[in-house]
Amino acid sequence: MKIYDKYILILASLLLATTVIVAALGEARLDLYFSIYVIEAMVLTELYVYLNPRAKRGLNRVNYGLFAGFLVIVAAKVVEILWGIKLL
Amino acid sequence: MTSKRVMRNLYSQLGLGLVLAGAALIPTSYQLLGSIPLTALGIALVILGAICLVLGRTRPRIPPEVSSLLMETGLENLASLLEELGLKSKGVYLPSSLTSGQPQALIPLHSNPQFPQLKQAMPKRLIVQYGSSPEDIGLLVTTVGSTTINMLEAKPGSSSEEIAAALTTILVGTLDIADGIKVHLADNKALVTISHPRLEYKNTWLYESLGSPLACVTASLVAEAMDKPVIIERDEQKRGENLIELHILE
Repeated sequence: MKIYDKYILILASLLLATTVIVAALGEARLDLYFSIYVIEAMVLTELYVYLNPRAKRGLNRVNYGLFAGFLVIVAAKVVEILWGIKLL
Repeated sequence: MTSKRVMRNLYSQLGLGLVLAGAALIPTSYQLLGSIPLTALGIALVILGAICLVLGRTRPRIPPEVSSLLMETGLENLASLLEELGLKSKGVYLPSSLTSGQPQALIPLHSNPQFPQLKQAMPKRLIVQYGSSPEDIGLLVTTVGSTTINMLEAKPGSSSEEIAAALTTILVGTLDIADGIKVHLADNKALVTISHPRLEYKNTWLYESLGSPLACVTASLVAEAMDKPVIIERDEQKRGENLIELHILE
């Protein structure tokens, strides 16, 4: 399962590096962290085109969930801009 | 798959651990510590954990040791058959259009320098006549490569990039027995370089005739992609690479 190990290690490194860099920049918006995580997970999954179809389908399901979370953040921001109601 | 079996899987155990750690870290760091970076780290752990859980569920249900046992038994039986018949001729890998269903290998009973052009599909039998001469008789066998073609979602195209992509999907992505594939096509030859193969090469009678399992998969896939019969001309392993040279017949 070497290809799975590589995928997990790269994703873990990316998420950790993002957390450290964004925290070092003094960013305090949780939605920004989450948005970057979602983009990283989706891009990495797309780059691993050679994963077996079952794994790819499973990872796509996780990415759909993450993307749904991202849409919730976007919707909350739109509501905040249009009506001034802070949801998150 | 039972939950007990899932838990024996290391990826599932890691995933569950990460999800639980992340789920505990998020409220603690957000409510008690008021730290956004730590909360973000908790979210990252949950994402990573969910991915590990999903990958754990996609592991094959049959342990790799059982698969290896079944493959070796099949190869051992085929090797015994070839050895008993004294067959030393090179196997010809046929695409599915020249067999009845899946790609198979034809081992001529008599070494023939000029393999005849096949005009129609071979019948689904072990002993088949493939040419007009009475000596054109051979064994039509199913190889490791025959079944691995089914792992692809679509038949690969005939360009070197498409063949390399299909081989990478099978050998790197699905079977996880190599780290990378390079394919070079020229005239009637195909040179395939497999980096860091994890199946050892044995100098046996069977490998002399049909090639190693890696060469088997490669030859079957190239035959299917080109829709032409293929012979393994060279199959050697050196310095972490497996070099496979194929001759594509007309």
